[in-house]
Amino acid sequence: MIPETMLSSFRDALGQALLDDKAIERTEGTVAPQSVYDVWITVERDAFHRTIAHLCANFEPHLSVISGDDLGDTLALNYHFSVGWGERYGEITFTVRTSVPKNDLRIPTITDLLPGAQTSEREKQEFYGITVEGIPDGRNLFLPEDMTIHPWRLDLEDETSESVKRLVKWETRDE
Amino acid sequence: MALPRSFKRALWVFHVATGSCNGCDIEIVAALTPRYDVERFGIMLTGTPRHADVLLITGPVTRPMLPRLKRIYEQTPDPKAVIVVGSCGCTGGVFYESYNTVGPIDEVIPVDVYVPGCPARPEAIIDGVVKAVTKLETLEKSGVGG
Repeated sequence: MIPETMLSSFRDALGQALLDDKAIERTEGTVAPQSVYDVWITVERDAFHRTIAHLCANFEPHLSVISGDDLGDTLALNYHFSVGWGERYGEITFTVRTSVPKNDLRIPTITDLLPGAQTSEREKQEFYGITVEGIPDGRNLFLPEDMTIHPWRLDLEDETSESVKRLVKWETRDE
Repeated sequence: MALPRSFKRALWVFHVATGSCNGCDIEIVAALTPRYDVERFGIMLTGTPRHADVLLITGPVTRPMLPRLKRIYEQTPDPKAVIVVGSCGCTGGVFYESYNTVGPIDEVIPVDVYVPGCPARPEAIIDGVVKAVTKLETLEKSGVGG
């Protein structure tokens, strides 16, 4: 998969909603050099679902994982995909990044396109306190249902550490 | 899949996880279990780098793993081949720009074979190991570590 093909396809499909794109190339070997690529695109939240729909319709992605970055005023969500399986050196990592403001923590679900995304979406809900709109099953996956704080948020540090201490105490009560 | 005619011994592989999410490690285990069964080619995991011909490395190299990875590389006898499995080790992947990683792996130790993928498929891992066999034979011919 040549990243330039992917990027031009997304530029055409998204227009102004595509805020940034880059393809990081790493060349390997000295006798017969081969390149592998990491492709990152940043899109507006309003165009996020459209971006994933475009990806699913054209490139047969495999969702590796969803990760997040607490950047202070905003929460950046990175959706890491693996695209182009089946040809030697054809597989590239494709990441869709979108920023969500802290005062309006909402993101549409992509489980209508990729049902397997639900596990990672549930994890983001409980650890970042973001609302994934339209998720079929939004229960907590790892944390207790009555846990009110979100451990990966940096702005809740004192509250988080207190709560984690309480949880550890509760879990080790029989030891 | 045909191995080269000159392939004359079993290949002992040491698996190093340098902070991966375990996705690639599970795929390596899948390559060892009966479905793919790499032991039929004489490829097997060993418990110590001192017995290994090949290092199979996953993950983006976290800071605590840096001295350990270098030490494992130095403990492996020559001739040896290094295979990187997964996008994290090849390019940084999911952990690109993270504050707590020093990878990708080729910035720490020399790498012979790259297997991209997130996670890399077992077929791709087996293909990578077979490539490493070729590399080892070239090294042996040139007398490295002989």
